Amino acid sequence: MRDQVSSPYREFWQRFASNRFATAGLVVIAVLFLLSVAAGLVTPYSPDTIDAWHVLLPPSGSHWFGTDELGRDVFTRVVYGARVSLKVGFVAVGIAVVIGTVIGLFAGFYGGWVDSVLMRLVDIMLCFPTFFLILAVIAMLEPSIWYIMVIIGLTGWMGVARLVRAEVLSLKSRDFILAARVLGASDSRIIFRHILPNALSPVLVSATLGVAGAILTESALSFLGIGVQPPTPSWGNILTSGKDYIEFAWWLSLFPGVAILVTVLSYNLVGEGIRDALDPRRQQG
Amino acid sequence: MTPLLTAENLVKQYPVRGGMFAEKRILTAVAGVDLELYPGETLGLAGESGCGKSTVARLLTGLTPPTSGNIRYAGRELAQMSRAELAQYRKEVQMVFQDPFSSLNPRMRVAEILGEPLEIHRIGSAAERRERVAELLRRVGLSPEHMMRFPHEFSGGQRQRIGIARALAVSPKLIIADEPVSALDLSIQAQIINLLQEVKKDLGLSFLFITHDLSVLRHLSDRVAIMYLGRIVETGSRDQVLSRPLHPYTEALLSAIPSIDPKKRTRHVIAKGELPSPVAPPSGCPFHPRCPYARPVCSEKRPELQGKVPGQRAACHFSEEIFLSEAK
Repeated sequence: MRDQVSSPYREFWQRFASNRFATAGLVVIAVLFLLSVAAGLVTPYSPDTIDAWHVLLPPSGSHWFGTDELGRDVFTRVVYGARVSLKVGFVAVGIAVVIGTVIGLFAGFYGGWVDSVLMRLVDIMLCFPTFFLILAVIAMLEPSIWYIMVIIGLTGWMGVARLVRAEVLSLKSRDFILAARVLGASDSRIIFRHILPNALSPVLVSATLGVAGAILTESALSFLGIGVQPPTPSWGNILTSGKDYIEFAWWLSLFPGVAILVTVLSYNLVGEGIRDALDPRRQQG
Repeated sequence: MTPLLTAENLVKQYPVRGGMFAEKRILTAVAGVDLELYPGETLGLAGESGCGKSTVARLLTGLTPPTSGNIRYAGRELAQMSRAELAQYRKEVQMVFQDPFSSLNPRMRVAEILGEPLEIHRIGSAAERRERVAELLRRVGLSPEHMMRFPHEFSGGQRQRIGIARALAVSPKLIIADEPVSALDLSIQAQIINLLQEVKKDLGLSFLFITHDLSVLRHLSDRVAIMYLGRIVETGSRDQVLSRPLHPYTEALLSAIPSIDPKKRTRHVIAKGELPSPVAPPSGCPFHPRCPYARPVCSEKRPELQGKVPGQRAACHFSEEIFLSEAK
């Protein structure tokens, strides 16, 4: 009986699926996921085995994306690099969403001085140029993927906090919240059962777009050499080594670059698809 | 008989912020309201939009604390209730809202919406709650099969039935209904009014029925209170107030109800202009700028709510002269 009943989720899914770009984005992300999980199965090479006899080979049947200056298979390194990018995207955005949601909920729900203090904190955080803050922090710590994820997360929650706060403010005066109050519902019940589920949809959109941003940030940091450290492959550090050979080994730069482009584009398309599906009025735009 | 709920001299003021340099002003939404509600009775509270009716509802349900005055329920003052007493109050006093589209959480299924009151007050086991939800749905004329649906799958009238079922879930003694039918189509209004009447009769509930539509009160109230600009200007039994009003404002409201019978059409008394701003209420009688009978004294002295005939009170200097002397 349950699955015959139409639900908001089902309608959302139908609207999402009717958007071809968003669906394509979702498929690309799903494929990337599968590839990175099953990396050992899709390629016969290891990402960091050096092969001095096959350095800088152009793309061919045995090395689809060619090999790098140490004879490692670029396709294998790009696939393993996807692990880093996806992990960074999810963990960093997960941290940002949790912090932002909690702060936004408190600020919006309790209002008054709680709201003022939390929102001024948001303003202060927004004053820092995030990328340079990350650079400075990483420069003091030893570069590691975990630090990067945590720092991207800690500097990326302000937008979510503002979104959630605005959402809570508009929900707070809705009659169903008053009805719960009249019934004697506790604050925590009102926040978690009534406000949070209704405030999450814009967060989902911003989180999806945030994943794209986090992947870009990680690639940039790795490209600069303070992100993921070689020999662990990441799209950013493959690009770094590729730049030295760009005149005669274009495949070293092209493939990781395309991987970044396609992934970020896919996340953006999915994010916009979710936004349109949540609010059908925007679909024409 | 002792009243179930009493409100004494309730006042609610809100600060209004103007521009940055404007002086702070006070909006008086409720300016000293006394109400008594007896067990098993339906009191109709009527007035134009903006007169403070909904604020009264919010004060009585404890959603907002009054600026001054007090509310007493079953002999205990609301402001001084202990936690346990307040929980009991929350169980015995329920509310039905005006807009059935905003009063139900769009992410909850009907079973969750109706089960929540039982959960909050820890009534019954999961199975018993489920049984109770089914019973409630039947009670309000819906079917237990609707349990797994979401609010957006229902029409306005059906949603309002769900809202009523939610109020009934914890077996309350008093239901405060804030314009429960004014967002609905006329034909649906009648159904919901009938449902409320049935529920009231079967369960022996007290009702505070807030509306701007006097014709609705004719159907389901025992007593009527008319509100104007944050004050009650007339109270009495339904028949007294609706057939022989003692306040010019009530008369104006009544004459605004269209009548089919041409003989019944009395002279049209029109309240001139619009409701004055509650930020700057008129001097003297709050109704004098719009009153067709206004005299100089009306703008100087505010009439108190006084008994004019047994059971009926009005706040007008000239009730007797206008309504009781001439044979109307």
